[in-house]
Amino acid sequence: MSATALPPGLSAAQFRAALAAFAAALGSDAVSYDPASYLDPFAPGDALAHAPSAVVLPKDVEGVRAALAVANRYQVPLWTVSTGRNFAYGGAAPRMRGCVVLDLRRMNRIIEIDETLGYALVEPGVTYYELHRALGTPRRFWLDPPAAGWGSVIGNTLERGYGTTPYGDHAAHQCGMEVVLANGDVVRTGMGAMTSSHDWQVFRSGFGPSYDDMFMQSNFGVVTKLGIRLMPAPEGYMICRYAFAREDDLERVVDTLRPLRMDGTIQSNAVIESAVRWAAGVSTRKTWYDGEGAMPDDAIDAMMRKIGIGRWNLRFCLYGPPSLVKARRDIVRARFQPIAGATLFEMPYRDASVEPEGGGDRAQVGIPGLEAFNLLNWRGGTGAHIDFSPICPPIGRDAVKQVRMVRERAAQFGFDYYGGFTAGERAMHHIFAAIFDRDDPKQSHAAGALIETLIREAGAAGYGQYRTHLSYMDLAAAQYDFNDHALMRLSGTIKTALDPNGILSPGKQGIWPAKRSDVAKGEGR
Amino acid sequence: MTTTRRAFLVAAGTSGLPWIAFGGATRTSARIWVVDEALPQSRVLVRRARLTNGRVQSLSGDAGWLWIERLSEEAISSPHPIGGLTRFADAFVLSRLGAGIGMRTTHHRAFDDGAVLWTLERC
Repeated sequence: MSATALPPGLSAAQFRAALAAFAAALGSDAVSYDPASYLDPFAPGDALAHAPSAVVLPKDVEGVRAALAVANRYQVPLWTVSTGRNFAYGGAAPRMRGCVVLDLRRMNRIIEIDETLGYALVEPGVTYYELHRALGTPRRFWLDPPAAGWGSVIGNTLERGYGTTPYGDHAAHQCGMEVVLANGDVVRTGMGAMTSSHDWQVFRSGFGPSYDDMFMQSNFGVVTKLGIRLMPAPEGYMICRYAFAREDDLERVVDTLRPLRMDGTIQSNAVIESAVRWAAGVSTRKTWYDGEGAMPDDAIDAMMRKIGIGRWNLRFCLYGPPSLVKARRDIVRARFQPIAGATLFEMPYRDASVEPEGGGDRAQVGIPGLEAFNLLNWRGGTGAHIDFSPICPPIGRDAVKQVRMVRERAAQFGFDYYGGFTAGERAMHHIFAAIFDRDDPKQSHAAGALIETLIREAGAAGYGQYRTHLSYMDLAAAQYDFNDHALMRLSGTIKTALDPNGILSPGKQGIWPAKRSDVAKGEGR
Repeated sequence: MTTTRRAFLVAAGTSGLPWIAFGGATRTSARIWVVDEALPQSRVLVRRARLTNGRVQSLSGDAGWLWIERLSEEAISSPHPIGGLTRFADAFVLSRLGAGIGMRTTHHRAFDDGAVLWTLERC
């Protein structure tokens, strides 16, 4: 596929005119004609299938409005990214080849940190690293980071990302947005709809209908400001880990964990990890097994013994004053005690100012990092991964069913089961990463084919994705089929009303503007 | 280990490494080498870097924090490239962070044990 992409429906001359108009409206430094760095580095096939045509980088809200005006005038489709580092789901690349990336990274102001009410108001270019640093030392408030700390706070929140402190449900802790609609209108949600409001970030609902969720995982507007709640730093914490010896312990682990999460004994998202997922953070596959196909059980057993982990491993953190933390720990220990061979490793209780060392542990105390990328070393070569991300009820038999389905299919396609669950209060995110060497076309193709197969099979079994790579957005959306896809019809109606020219992120989450239905068909929808 | 070391020396001699590309000690002295000292090849690189007045920045934890707290300022203020001998994941992270400020990564050599020899320089 050619590296030069044009927006569908535009001639080269029309596109040149549009780029000139972008440069005139935003400044020549706000337009990049070299979009190669916006290609998906983890593409499971030809990255050029999602190649952008150019990049526009506004530096403020007026710049966003100007870009939208040009896009409407010239019928140029835009693809909005905050920092574009959402790798494994497509990075900065657009769903539809030829889109101009609307990159908001230059809008990177931390507008406000309120240490009385506990929130921050930020622009899209602000990363977790930056906001964390701005909170200073000692931290009076914690920010919950996702696995990759270089991501945008706004971007991750809008994609419904999550972390592992008690504020780990990022979308739930969003507290007020500013959104530029496709027609250039600037809207503030909740109390922000009052010009003189003193409590935009305090009360999310406002008066009348609430639209915040409409702008999450959607293409209905460009979010230019967002409030995020900050967690008051606890007095201290205790990081705990359980190792469970047997594969079939998973069902009891989930059923034991559920009430502890639901009643708040364990206050934050708990992570259940397979042996391979744990090992991939600290070693390479070759250390344990150098053969073709998925790692055999005996190699996994030997690896577990050597590293000192279980077939399943549960990580969580308890927060508060020592007496409360110890009381919680005792309850947890009593509940898991009946599972034979369960081993609890607990770090000593620490004052909140003491930082742990490992990446996963640091995330549990609100410190962003990038060590999660260690999984790229697992398979060797030019490491990459794409993820299968179904929601799972926190019921043991569902977890076992999903794992069995994924593990068997993964093995058929030659992949190890690198998977696990992040257990919230009411739902679990089951994440399986197909790790591959991007320079190996066979592995890349197999990774894509595996994810596609899993999405179909999970859908048939009643399990939907919470998020997916660009290439599978239509497929994932198609699984939400109640009443002949009524939800997608509603999204289409809203899309047409808000964005009649279909300029904002066509195809995002399977939502295609009516005006681009021909392209959607060509894209395999 | 011997094979790996030999492979590294071969790569160092053929890959346009900075002490070859830039020659004189004055220029190479400004270079920072990011080195994962757990990698067996690192000993050779560290020794060589010191001989040429290169500075060695040990990488043992999160490459992201290393970039933010040490490397990014240097990368912005200095015209000299940054070199590295790390595992692939750290090379990936640093190359992406470098790209954010207009730097380009060249992978000179990937070793069988997962080590990568790379440079990051202004486009």
